[in-house]
Amino acid sequence: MPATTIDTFFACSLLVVLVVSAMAVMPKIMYPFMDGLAHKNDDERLQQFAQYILLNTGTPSDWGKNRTTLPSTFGLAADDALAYSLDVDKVSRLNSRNCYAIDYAELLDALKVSNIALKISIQPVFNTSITLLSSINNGNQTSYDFGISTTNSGLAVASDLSSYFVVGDCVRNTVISTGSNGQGTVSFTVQNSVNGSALLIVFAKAKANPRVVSFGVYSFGHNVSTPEPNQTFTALSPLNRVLNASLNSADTIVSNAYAFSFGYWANLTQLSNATQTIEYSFPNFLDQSATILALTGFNGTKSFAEWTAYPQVPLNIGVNFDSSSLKGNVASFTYIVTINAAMYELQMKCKEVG
Amino acid sequence: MRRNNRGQIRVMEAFLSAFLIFSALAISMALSPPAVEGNDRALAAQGMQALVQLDSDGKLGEMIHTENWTALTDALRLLLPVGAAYNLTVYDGNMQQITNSPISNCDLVGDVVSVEYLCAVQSVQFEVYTLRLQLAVVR
Repeated sequence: MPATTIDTFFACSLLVVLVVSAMAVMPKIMYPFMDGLAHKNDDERLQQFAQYILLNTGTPSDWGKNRTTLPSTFGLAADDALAYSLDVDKVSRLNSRNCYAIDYAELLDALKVSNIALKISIQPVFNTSITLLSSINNGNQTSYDFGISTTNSGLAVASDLSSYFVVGDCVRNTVISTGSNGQGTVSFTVQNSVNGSALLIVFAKAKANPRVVSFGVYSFGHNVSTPEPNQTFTALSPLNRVLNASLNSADTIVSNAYAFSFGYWANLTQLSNATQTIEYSFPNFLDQSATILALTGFNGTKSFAEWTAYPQVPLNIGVNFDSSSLKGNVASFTYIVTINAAMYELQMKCKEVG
Repeated sequence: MRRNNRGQIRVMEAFLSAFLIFSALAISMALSPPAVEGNDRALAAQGMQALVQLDSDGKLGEMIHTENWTALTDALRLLLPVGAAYNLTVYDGNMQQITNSPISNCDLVGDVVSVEYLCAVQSVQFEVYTLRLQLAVVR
């Protein structure tokens, strides 16, 4: 066989091997690039989707106020034409503890999307934490010292604090400021002639911006044992300035009902009292603050003090993106939104599925 | 001799082809997927939204008008994410910088996104300021 034939055969074989191996390798190398191009606009599209929810009222535009109405199109914006201003009732109806809440399936139905998984979380911009520093019983009265800490992701937030001490029909209020380290101490002295489950409700307004408001509630027993967890005896659902208190047993008796904001507090007016359900109207306080609604009463011989917030935050609605099947490629958007003139942080996570 | 050369040239052709194919592969590998711009876009949106919220009750214009840069720094620090570095520059209607001290929390390093916001002040004299907010993720 001549040498040229062997060379030509060798050259042709080399070319064939090269072409075949290139065909095998090229798709694997090119896939990330092509995939990147295919999903290039996903983030922007999901961001527009998130903004649509925050900037549109939905249909009907007052779907939040009417407890039986389900939205035909979904949107959280308030009807006041301000950007990123959310309706307090629409937000409250996202909280699963509210008996008028819409569920995730109804939310997706109203959004008219089937290929996007979604999670919405709303919470105060910064955190207010309360610790009981000391309680000293002086015979006919008890003195309490509470430490208040206001932080944003671990960083101190200097703020003004308005604190309410609630036990039975006794309400005390004090206003102080934290230092630049976000720490403050609140003291109350209460007669021992009243006893029962008690609440310390603290509203905090950031000094840097009074519209940035947070709150914290500390539950404890005043001359009684530690109370049960919140909403053990009642289920509280605020909507459209009406608080629905669903009593969990026939033995539950509500003695007092209150509404608190940073600057004001009021007793609630009872609207109706059906079997194990009481409705109260509560006022629209004019200050830039959340409203805390609190009930005190008895279940048999055991006292309780239970509460909820209006808007009913913090809340989470949607899928759990930490589960293994939904991990990865989750777009996350954080917004500062206004609800009843106070600012909150809203986080929306979205992912294309299917 | 000429016959022998013909075979050698074919081998050279094959090697040249191999070189071409491997070059094509190397170039295609260098074409990495498009850079993920989602985080930058989200950060820019958060910056813009913080300015919109500060301006929604006229507070932003008031702080600029009174040159209360400390309050503006504190307000931005509260509304922007903790992991974001920012630098705000304020210009007047003639695009002259009026911030005499830096409004920032730390040096901007890495990918920097910039948003511009036009702020009108509620006062007797109509004044408009241009705000340029630069943001970067602290790494």
